[in-house]
Amino acid sequence: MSFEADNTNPFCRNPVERDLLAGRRIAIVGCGSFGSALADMLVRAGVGKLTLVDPELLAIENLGRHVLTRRDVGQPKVHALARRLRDINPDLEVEARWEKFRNADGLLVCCADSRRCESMVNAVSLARRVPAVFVAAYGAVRAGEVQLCVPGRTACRECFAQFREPAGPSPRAERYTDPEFDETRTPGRSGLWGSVLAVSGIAFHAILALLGVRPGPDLDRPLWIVNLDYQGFPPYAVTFASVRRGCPVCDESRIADLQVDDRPPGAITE
Amino acid sequence: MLTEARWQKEKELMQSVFPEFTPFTRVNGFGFEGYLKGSKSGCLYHITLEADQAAYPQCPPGVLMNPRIGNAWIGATDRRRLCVDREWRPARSTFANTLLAVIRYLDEFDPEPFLAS
Repeated sequence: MSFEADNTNPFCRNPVERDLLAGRRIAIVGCGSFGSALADMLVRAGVGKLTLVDPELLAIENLGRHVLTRRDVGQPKVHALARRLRDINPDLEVEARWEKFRNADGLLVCCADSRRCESMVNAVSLARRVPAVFVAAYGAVRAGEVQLCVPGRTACRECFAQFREPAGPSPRAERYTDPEFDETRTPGRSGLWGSVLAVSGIAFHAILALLGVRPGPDLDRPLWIVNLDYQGFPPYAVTFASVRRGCPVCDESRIADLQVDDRPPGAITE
Repeated sequence: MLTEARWQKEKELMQSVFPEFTPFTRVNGFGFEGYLKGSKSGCLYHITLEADQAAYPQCPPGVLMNPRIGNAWIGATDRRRLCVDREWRPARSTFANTLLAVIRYLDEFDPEPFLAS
């Protein structure tokens, strides 16, 4: 498809997507590697309303895999990212919330490295009956995971997360001194920016599909495993998987399943 | 966010294994309280398991103990909470298995009785 060059319109190469996305609101929870990459992609695609939520400051250690730069170090990630996004589109409505997630409007995109935060996003998705997309990485971003959650239609995040291995103890010193420390955060891991972008690009298309900008996703297989070079999956490929729907968090009829022993089936026992 | 059905099930589970513990609700808070006896010292420990209605089961209940034993406590002096690693799964974990974790902690840190000569 050809396009007409327009020196005043940053969306002249994607006017259809811009028209469809300009009025949509997306909340990005967690503005680290994945969150910042997705925010950048979504604004360039034409999303007109964005909420950014993250309680952290940008550190030097983030620069290897983040859209922000050295000049932003020490700033709240959400504020620096909002500035950058307004530089791309000055008409962008962007709300920067420098805090832990409690609630937000619009499609929820969770890129947080905290299972507790994921649980909060999942709860809001279920309570407000709005879709949510969860983006995460395995190991040093050798593979990624994108889960689409549509209340009433797919499994929720907890349906899947209840079977995951524990995140493991955090190496951060704050766990011993900060009463509010979130011990469910995944310890910082290595990984390459290009790998983050590869997984984010697939997550970006999952979001477009949920928003109706691309053909609808197969909601019977809402878990997308984006494998780069991790053993056990086809290399450089996306595998679509199903997740059994229904758990005590998203389905009240399953609350009866709660037991005193909370170990998942097959969990390693002492 | 706590639902009535979840609260009823939590009470049912606690009643089945720890019937001595009583449920309570306060503004923004709810949970269970009761006493556990130290297996070595024989001391009675007042245990409170308390959660925030807006954040349960996404966040685990806090554990308060009086008297406190061991060193795994964090927070303001009058509201120190037990701070030990335990995996919390909102779709599986409950107040009852939180109390089981407290019992394991007590078994480890409850002191031997003082023997006077």
